[in-house]
Amino acid sequence: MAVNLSAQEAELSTEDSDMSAWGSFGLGLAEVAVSNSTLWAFNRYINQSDYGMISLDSMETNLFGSWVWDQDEFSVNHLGHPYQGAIYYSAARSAGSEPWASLLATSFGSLTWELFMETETPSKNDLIVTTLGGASLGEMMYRLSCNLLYDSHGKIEKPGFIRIAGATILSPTTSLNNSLLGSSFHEEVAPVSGWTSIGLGYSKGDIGVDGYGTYSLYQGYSSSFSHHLNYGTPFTKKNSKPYDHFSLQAGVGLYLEQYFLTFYSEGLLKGQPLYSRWNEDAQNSLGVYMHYDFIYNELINLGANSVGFGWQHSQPLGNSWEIDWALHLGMVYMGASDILFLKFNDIYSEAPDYERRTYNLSMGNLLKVSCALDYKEKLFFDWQYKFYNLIIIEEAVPEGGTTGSEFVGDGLFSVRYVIKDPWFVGANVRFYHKQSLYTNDYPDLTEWLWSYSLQAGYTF
Amino acid sequence: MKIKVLLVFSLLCTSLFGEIDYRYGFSASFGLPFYSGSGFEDYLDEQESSLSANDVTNNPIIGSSIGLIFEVPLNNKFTAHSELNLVGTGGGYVASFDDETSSHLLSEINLELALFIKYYFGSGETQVYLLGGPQQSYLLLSAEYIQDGSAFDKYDGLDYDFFGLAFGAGVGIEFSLVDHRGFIELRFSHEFTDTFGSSGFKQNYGGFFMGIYPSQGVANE
Repeated sequence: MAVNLSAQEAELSTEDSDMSAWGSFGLGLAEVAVSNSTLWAFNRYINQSDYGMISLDSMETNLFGSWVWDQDEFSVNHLGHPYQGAIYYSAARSAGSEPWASLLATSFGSLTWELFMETETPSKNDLIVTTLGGASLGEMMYRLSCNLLYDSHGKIEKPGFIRIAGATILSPTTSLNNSLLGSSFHEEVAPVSGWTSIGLGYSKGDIGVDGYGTYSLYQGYSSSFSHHLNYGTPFTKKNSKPYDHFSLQAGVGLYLEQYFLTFYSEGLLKGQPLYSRWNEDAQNSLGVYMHYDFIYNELINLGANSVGFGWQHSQPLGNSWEIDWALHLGMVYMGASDILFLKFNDIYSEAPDYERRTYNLSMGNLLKVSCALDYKEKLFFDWQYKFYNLIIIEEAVPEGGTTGSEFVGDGLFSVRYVIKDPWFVGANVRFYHKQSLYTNDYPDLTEWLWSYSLQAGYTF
Repeated sequence: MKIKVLLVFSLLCTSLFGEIDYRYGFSASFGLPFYSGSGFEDYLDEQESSLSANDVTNNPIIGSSIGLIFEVPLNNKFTAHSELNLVGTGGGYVASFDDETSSHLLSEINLELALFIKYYFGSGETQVYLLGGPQQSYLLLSAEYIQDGSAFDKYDGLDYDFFGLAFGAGVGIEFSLVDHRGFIELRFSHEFTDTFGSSGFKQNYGGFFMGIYPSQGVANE
């Protein structure tokens, strides 16, 4: 079930830290600086990259020069930069700062990185994605690592090696500060629920080029790993901080020789539970949510940093059934999606010897709808659809690129049957699609990727 | 035989450090290394001529260090403060042409041993201090990196001297950090010896240092 945690309300407990708010903020900023220095030192001394060879001159040039739209590859800008920002953010959070102060520390880290820590010209999209994507990802990483390290009252659980290792992988700075600050700082935790599964199946990908026909690109057996997680519940008045409730879905797929990474998240910034006098069994929540989503594979790439409204609903249907549904509508303030012509040119023909993006930067809207039905917590039906309408930013079009619109969608229908609690077996059908409507000489494109798989997993 | 010598050395260290009051810590810095001296000024003039550049200017690069600290109190105001640091240092210059620049980065990675005397003002949780003393450096790696427009090249192994001697001095603040002691410090060092041969190149490093002494109380209790 998607969001049914009302029976286990989050028990929140924050005890006073030994440090003042300014002390915590200062420590967070210091760790952000150390994080930047460490990454720079890797670029400079280990990787010996040209962009790591900073000097007083490069700093001065970047400080007083104009900002650009970055040309780095998709994985660097839409996976790497949010992770970099998440390290900044979780450093500040785990040092004791509140979310908004941590956002400030993240923007400090991102701004100083862009201006001073690279020889590359500072870029607008990097600043946005590192700061806001990083805050979104960082708060989730921080919360989940706290969940491993602390119990629901904020006390240290004397976690074992597996828990410490898990927390460190999720959020290295949280583990560092846990060691550094010891028991002086406690963080609230909330219960998590969800399911994890592995799957085997069959996948098929097609590209339709307007005026030229349809081409099959991928066809064959596939395997996948999926993780669905809900943190806290939206149906409580106790939610006082951003991300007291969030949901995330992460997936790794292997289709023939192609990998396929997906990540979707919705974090509650501010919400209000709603009650109906006519339907006392129903739980509703209306709120403002932040989203950090990406799809990363050879055929379809999508990066979307968004904010919008969300409505979640949970209700029993008779004695045996329960329904949960959610609707999210939002604005994509920084999106990205690949330009297949440039991408395939670079893969199969000849890439230029200078940096040139193979994807567009865009703004637009998102729609996420989901519905989950369960029968006596034994049989589950899930249906989800996510849709992104992206308008390409004209001034950010790379050399050889084009303006226009792109529509990306991801649909999933799954059935799960609990054979022995918590283990289940199931099946699902998933499809990704993308329509690209270009304004220059490029023909319009339609891309589809279908996946059918049998699943086995466990519920937590 | 080697094992016996090591054993005796270990026992000596154990007995010595068992007798004295000491503390250890960790430090890291971020700084601006640059070359100075008449030799470097001459070198920049030569480069301006040989590269047919409009101008060649000294360009401090960005350096960093990580290190271990070992500190022994001498009395309630002074401590003997030694450091073993891995330091990324060097210098650089920028050649300006009509419509572009060429950036040259001369990189050194040194192992550095510093022996400082440290003086604490006042007492209590937060203390200001001054420190200064000699620093020995041992060259581990060197290279020159040239960014010429979009072209980037690296040349390994500059003909630098293995050994260098410098004087460093700084001012800092030490404070409590939960159960530990933390510090932030501004420090500058200037090399007495020439970076290579009798070149007249002098290495400088102005840096912001910070670090921690884990759970061991103040230095001059």
